[in-house]
Amino acid sequence: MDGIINEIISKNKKGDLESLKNYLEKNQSSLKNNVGHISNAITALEPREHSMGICYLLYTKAVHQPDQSFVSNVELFFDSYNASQIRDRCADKFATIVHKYTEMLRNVKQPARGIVRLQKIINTFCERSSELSPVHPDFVLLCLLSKNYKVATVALERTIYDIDPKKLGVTPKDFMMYYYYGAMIWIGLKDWDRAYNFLVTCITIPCTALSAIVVEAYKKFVIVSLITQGKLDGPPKQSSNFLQRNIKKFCNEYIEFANAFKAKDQQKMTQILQQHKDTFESDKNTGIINQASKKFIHQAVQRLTSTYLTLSLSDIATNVGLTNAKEAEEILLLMIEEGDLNATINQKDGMVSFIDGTQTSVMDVIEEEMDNARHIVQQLEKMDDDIQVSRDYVHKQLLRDPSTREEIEEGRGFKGKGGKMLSRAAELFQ
Amino acid sequence: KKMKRNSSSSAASADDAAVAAAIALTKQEQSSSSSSPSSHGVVVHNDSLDLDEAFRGYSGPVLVSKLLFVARRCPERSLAAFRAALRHIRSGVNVDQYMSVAEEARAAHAETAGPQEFDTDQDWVRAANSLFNHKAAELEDKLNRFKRDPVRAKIRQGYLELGDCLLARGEFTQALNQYLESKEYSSNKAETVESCLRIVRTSVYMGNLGHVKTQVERATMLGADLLADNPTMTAQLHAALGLYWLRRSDLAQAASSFLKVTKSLEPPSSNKDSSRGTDGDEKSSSSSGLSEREKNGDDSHTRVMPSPDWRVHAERFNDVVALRDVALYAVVCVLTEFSRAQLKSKVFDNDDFRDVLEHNDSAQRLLKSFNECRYGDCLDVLASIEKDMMLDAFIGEAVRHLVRRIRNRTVSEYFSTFVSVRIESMAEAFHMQPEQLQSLLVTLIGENKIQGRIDAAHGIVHSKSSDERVSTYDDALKAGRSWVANTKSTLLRINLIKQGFVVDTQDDVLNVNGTVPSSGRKSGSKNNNSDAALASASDADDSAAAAAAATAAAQRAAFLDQERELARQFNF
Repeated sequence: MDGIINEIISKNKKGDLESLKNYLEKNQSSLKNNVGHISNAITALEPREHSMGICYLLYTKAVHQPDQSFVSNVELFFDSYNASQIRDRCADKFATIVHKYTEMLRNVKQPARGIVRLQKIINTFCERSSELSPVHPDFVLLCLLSKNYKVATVALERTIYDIDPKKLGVTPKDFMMYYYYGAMIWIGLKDWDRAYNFLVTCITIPCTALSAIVVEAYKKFVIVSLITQGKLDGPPKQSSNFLQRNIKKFCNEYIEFANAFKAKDQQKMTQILQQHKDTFESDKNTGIINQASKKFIHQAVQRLTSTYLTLSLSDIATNVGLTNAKEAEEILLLMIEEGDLNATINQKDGMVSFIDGTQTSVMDVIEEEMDNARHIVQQLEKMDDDIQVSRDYVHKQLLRDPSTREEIEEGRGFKGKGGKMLSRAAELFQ
Repeated sequence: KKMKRNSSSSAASADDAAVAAAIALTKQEQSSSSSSPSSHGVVVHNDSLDLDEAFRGYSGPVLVSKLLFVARRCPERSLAAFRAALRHIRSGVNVDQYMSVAEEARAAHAETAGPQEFDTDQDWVRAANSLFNHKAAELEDKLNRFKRDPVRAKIRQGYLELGDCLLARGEFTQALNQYLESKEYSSNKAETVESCLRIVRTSVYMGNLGHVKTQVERATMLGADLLADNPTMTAQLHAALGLYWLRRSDLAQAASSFLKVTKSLEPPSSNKDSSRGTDGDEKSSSSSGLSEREKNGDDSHTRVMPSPDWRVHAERFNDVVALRDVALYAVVCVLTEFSRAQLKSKVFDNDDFRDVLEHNDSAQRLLKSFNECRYGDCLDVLASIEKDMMLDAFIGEAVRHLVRRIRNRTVSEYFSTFVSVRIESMAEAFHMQPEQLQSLLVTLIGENKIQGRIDAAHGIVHSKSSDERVSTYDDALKAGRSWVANTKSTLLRINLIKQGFVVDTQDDVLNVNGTVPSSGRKSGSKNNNSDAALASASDADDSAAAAAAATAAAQRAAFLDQERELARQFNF
């Protein structure tokens, strides 16, 4: 053990991180054998200076002896670690440490304890806010467990574009969990549109096998689809073929419910709820399904607004399938409060007048959306530029053009004007 | 039955192929006889249908088809219709049809008919067979003689006569072959068209109208001047084509075809549509001839013996469709499909059609009231003829659809002239109850056929002034937002793919398919050190595989438990 510690200290002094890394890799079994001493040994190291070394040590502990001292060691480490040592070199091991830490907090039911730390790590570990790290899903999970939904939104609202497994150690499972947990946060906050987007992202991950995570996500996707769009359109077309072919048999009951919903058959919906009560309960989806049933009524009322200008409460009740005018009034009040409906109720004669939505400065909204769009266009242009100078692309283009193809294939130089330049370019990209 | 004389090899093979194709169809349709009205799926209750009047002037197999159509669908007229049909069949020589219809009538009216009324009359069968065989033999000999002494005109005549005779017998496919042959021997275009028309007739008799379109196209290709010189043939072609489109439920095409029919369809002496009184023309063998006595249960049809008309009368078309029916079909199709502009140019400015229209009083009233926007009257006329139309073999199936469409369009057109209108007054204009009209309006608004909204409190419908500016903004926002969302997700997925982020069986991803991650196998073979046979190695593999699957399942179960624990905390 001491030998290892000395190596860490000395190699760090020399700034020779690469050979340190090789050394540590080779000595993993020795680390494993001395796992009991790790807590002690760590005290000899500086988190800021020896981040990579500590990472390996804590990793060994995480895998082979995660005990109470592990948690405090990790927290100390997190408080002042040096992300640049970890990135690209042992990010995967760092990921394991974070996952284990989260798991332990979960087991002792102290999720809130890790929230601030993990949030800080996200900010320090990722270089850009558009990157996804293995810490993201754990962070969101802790927020979920401790019911601190709002805290998570800061991270959830950032758009993710960059996935770099080598640099940050992020895996497909992290990806799926992040979007799945993220969706649950949005569901908790009743932001159905965002929940829908997160669920879609989760289930459109490329795949040739079905993960249990995706299956659970799809079940929620079915219900949230009904809430946001009133119907289920089937697996999104960007989802992989494998999923589209195989997902149905894992969530039959949900699809049945969705079909009844789409057919506006209230009786059938209640019947299916009864029939499959146990499945829905064991999936713990009864909550959102009840939400969907409520939304069904709301959507029915909304449909009325496109046909009627005014309508009596009792007529609304009969149209939508409610028991009486009183119930209709309650539902309408709820809808107006939630912003799902613009209407006035005249209690004297029981008439409801539907008001058309007011057009408040649409231009502002449009400006904002256009900014979003401009930002995306920038991203696209950047991506386009990157591809244009990438070696694969240039090589391919040179092959395609008949005047250059032969030269490339035969490995000769180019003739004619600019020939020397082209030869150099071809060499560079070969 | 000895008619196997389909010798002549040649013949337009295209025609032959078409014939062969149609045979299968025909057999299907002819074999679908059934015993009770409801087994055809539709029951039409109509106790005011006057069989005499409805089918006045019709003759031949088409008349029989029309009567059977009624017999199978209308309980109130079924017995009378069967009787009339059999009466008519018995005046011909189609033994097959006689037997099958008699059987059908027996089954359908076992209780209501006379004790042996529909029993097979063997005397009749013998007489019919003998008459036919005699005539057929005679015509065959004649034809053979003509063929030896090649005068084209006579040979052609021979084929036509033979074909007509087979037609009377109900041997439709064989008749077709004779007519096809006759085409080979025609010496001018008019004669070819005459043969085409024979085939058209046969097709209609068969019930499936499969050949009509091709034959009409052939005929029209022969030249416009030819058709101009032969107005009767032209009218017949258009009328038949109209029936074809009607059968195919293409009402717009049907309307166009029927509108081209002129009064030349019927020879000048034929009857116009007078009032409802009978014409007293009962002695002609071509009327449905139901006297009062017969309607009340007389079974005089049992005494009719064969007296076939062996010739097809090319100058008449009452064996296919009557002019008054053409008028009606034309008008209802027009009202369903044509815009008012088309109505003006194709109907009102069409002088020839006006003559045709005079043959049908209801059709005239329908058209006039629609044109003058007296929609209430228009719908009333429609309602009065609806039941009878449903029992017409050519248009019956389309009637429900027609009526609904005409009603919907009249309502839409009426409403389109208003900014807002009281439901009560609109209902009056349509001769409807306000509640009826309101639910019709709700349906039409829902189907987007009317742009309007109902103020139920005051009983008014307002036309929805779609604010284009608002909707443009809305659409733009929607389109933009969805583009942004799509592009974001595509950018993400491009990066996913670039990084090889694919969920497959190798990963620790809680695979639900039950397939085994292959790493399981590798560790299995390592553990087995013995140099024993592969058997034990594969055993270890299997058990390792099973173990791996078990751990995968355990992991999956653990995950699900955790998630459910998590979700338990959500109480919405």
